[in-house]
Amino acid sequence: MNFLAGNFFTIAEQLITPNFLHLSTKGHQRISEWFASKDWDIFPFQQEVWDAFLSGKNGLLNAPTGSGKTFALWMPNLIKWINKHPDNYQETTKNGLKVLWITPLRALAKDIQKALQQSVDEMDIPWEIGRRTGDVSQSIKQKQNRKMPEVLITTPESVHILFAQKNYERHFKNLDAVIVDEWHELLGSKRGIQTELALSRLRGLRPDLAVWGISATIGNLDEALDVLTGPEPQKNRKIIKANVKKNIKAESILPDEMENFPWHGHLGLKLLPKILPIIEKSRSTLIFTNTRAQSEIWFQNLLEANPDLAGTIAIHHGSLDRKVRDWVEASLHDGILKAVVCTSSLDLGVDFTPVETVIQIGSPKGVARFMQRAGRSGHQPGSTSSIYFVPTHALELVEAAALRSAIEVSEEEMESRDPILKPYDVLIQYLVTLAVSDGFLPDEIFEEVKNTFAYQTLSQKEWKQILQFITSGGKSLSSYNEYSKVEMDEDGLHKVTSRKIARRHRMSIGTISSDAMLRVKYMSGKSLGSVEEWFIAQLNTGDTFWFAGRNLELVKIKDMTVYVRRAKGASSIVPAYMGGRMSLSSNMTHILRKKMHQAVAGNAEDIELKTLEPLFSIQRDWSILPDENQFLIEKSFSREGCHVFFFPFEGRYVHEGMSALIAHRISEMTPITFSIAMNDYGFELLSDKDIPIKEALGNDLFSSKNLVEDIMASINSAELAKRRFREICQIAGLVFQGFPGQAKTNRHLQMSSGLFFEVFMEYEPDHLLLQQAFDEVLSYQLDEVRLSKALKKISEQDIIFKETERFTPYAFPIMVDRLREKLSSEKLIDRIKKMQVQLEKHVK
Amino acid sequence: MTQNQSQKIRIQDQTLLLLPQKAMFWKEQDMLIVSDVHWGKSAHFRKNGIAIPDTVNQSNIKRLNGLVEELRPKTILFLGDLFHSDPNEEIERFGDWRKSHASISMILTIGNHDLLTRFEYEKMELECVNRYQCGPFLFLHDEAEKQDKGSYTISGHIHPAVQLKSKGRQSLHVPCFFFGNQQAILPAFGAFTGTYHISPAQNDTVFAIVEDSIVKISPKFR
Repeated sequence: MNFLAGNFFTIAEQLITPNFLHLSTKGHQRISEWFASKDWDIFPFQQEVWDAFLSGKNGLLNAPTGSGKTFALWMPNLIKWINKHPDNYQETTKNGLKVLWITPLRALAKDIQKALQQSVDEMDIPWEIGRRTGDVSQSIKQKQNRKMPEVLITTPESVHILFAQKNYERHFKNLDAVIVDEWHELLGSKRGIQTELALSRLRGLRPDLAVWGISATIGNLDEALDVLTGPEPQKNRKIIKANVKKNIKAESILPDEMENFPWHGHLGLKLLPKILPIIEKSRSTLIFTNTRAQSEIWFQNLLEANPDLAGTIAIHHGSLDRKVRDWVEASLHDGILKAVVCTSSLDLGVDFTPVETVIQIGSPKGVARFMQRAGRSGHQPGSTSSIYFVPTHALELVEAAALRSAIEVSEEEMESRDPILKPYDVLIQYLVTLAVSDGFLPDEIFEEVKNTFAYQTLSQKEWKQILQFITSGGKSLSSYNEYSKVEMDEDGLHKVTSRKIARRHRMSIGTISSDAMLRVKYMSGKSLGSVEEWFIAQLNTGDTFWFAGRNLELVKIKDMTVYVRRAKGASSIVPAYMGGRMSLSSNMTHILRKKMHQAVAGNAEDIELKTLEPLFSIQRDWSILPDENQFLIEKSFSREGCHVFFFPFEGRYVHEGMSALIAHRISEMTPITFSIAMNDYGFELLSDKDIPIKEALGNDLFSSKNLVEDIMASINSAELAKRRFREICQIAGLVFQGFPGQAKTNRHLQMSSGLFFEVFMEYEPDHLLLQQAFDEVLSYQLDEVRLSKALKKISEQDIIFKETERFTPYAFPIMVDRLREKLSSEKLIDRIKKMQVQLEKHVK
Repeated sequence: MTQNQSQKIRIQDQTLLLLPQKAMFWKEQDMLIVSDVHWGKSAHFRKNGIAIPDTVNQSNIKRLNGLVEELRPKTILFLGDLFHSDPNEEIERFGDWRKSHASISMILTIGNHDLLTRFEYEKMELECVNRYQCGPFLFLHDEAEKQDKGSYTISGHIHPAVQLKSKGRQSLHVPCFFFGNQQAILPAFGAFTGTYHISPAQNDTVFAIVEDSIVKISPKFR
């Protein structure tokens, strides 16, 4: 009998499918009823997530926006709650914080809050869904501090700010789950590291915490899961794919005549007239530009081209005031706006159903970004997304062809988001955060930190150095050390006692932007947004500039605020923002080279490449059109000096490293000074004297021998590390921008990161933050692996050296670039003397 | 530092020696003039939890001592911002340093960073004034606060630097001495004090500090 009973049980278990089993619970019934009341189907992937979540697994949901991903991860929390309190789930209040929902963008927080709150309200569950981001008022935050809502939607920074509160652990004592939304956006950034550290602390407090991520399709989903869940054993984790296929229709806007189409540039205004009918036809259009300046300029020019658009188009970018952006987003949502010119600020989030068309101005630099932007249109499940690509210069047409063919690619060819490893700056910031609130015991926190993906290789020695940095300011070389930040009490608790330092630290968490920003306000007090200090520094009172889609006159600057009034007239300068200098992803360069070679071989079907033929033939006439087996180097002279161009077609980042390396190797041969420019197709070395390129080529210029040493030497001279150091300084708390409105009291504590860099280089060259700057340049910017692959490829190609009379279509766009690197092996005094000589020559 | 190349100039019938250590020596008066030392800056940062290596101040002292030894001045004139901020231990060390040069008289024209009380300055035997008239020159910290015309002004405060350009799209940014028709501005003496770009007009003269040399730049040709 025993045998039979056992057998029967097994059979019964097999019969009861997971669905059936779950539908029998009260929680499932309640949720199913609610879905039915909305006339919604439960998608199989949602069901799959619920099952996995409820069986205690952690995991990652791979699903695009607008697929029902939010409810996939929200509902199991409710099911669990209802099943745990089947009789009184509609009564119990003050349950404490149960679910933490982390999103990269605070703009998304509001929408999620609304959706979740509506669901619990309709099911009569008295849960409160709260939001805690930088733009939530102080009074709401204080209310939350007294009584946490059941769900808190927040950003990684805001979690750290919570950790900086006295007695912060009390907020998390009921926490059951953390959901990390848009994990692919955080992964590969320092905010991703902040997320990892936050999770490590929360796991320390709540060992049974459920952790789930939501990610769009990226090349390294498995790794994304590893980073999110850290030490979890394999069997307890799951990746669930929604497999929602999105149809994308991509089309390029082509110039009518190639003869008049610019060889260089990044604005793309030439094709603006062709955009107008597209905007006209579409219910609502998103126009993506690559920089904030470009968005301002496009907005201005659209209005000039068609004044009827006034009032129906808007602008949206990251420097605009939150209120302005909220209004634009709400209007888009309501279908009031015909078009919005935007930047990556609208890459994510909010569902804009009325958007039918997306226009991408200039290269999106990667397949994933192009597809994500396309997906902002035709948002309803099953509908087709429509995107137009507007090239800003001739060669971008090749990219257009590459992007169109890439849309067909499967997941394996999507770009990866590589996680950052062991950044000291974020760890330093985190430790001070813990020291600011209740203090921390190093041994306990070391264990937690070691269990994150990012810091799994952190050694005891590095840990000691970091503790030394925050307690005694690094190595102390003089006899009087007044350093004060984190102090250690007799029990080994590391704590910040100075209220001033604590306050400053709290204010600085979350500022990862490196430039000092000034608020832009009307005299009446209405805020428009913020703008880089260095831009404003070039202006005088009365000057006008274009910002937030308006022409503004500078009235005065006071307390970190620029006061402006509306100015008459149309043309004025636009703040040129840093950034927008992204590199093509390696996937993109791969497809790009393939397309390029197809075009050269004459077997390209793409309309873009056929349009480009006149340009190719000029390149062929003036130089050569390199094929798959050729590596082209061009040399020419101008009034400015000697130019040498190299065309690896490997993307800006690889060119950055390769150009520094090549310049360094030539500068070893003779004292020479280079100014270096690059784009995604190639790079240029410019010098006031003849560049001995032929000799250099005879000297194994592209060899991978001594690669690391040569790269290190070139980083030193090319100031790359110095630029990296800016962000590091800020995160590690060395640079402090001051509190809004009281910049004055802190002026004595301000010093530029450039000066910090010089101080450390001179007095503490082995400083761990300097090491980090060099490491970051090596692994993320120069990407040694990609660079040596590229060098290897060149060594297998035939080098074709051409002296050209004119700048070719390939060379010209690089030559005109004003943003340049420097590298010199000449003595400073010799360079200065040359500058003098030249000045005097000029006058004669 | 043995091959320092200073530059001798004549202004208002006086001989001024511009030194690559970012200081100036007035021959007729045996007066060493330095501006914007920002003594105590590293300690101020460290006290506030910002970890600058604490050796920065040492380099200032070393350079100052070197100049005193080489030039044997009767007077040292500090053109303001001698101290970086409120009192700290590094600033107390200034008292010791002062005592070790007891025979030299020292004058400070008060700058915006000099927050100590007059009593504290006097305790350290610093003669402390807002402006200091000597011969044809009027010395003060910030030239913008000069009220009267007349004397040739010598000041500091802005930490001047110029941008130089040449063929091959090369450019350099170097700290400098500035000499106009009616005024001169000295570079900041203190290590790691930052610089401010100036745009000299015609007839102004700029002397760039390039490592161990002073190089005359003629901006009117730019």
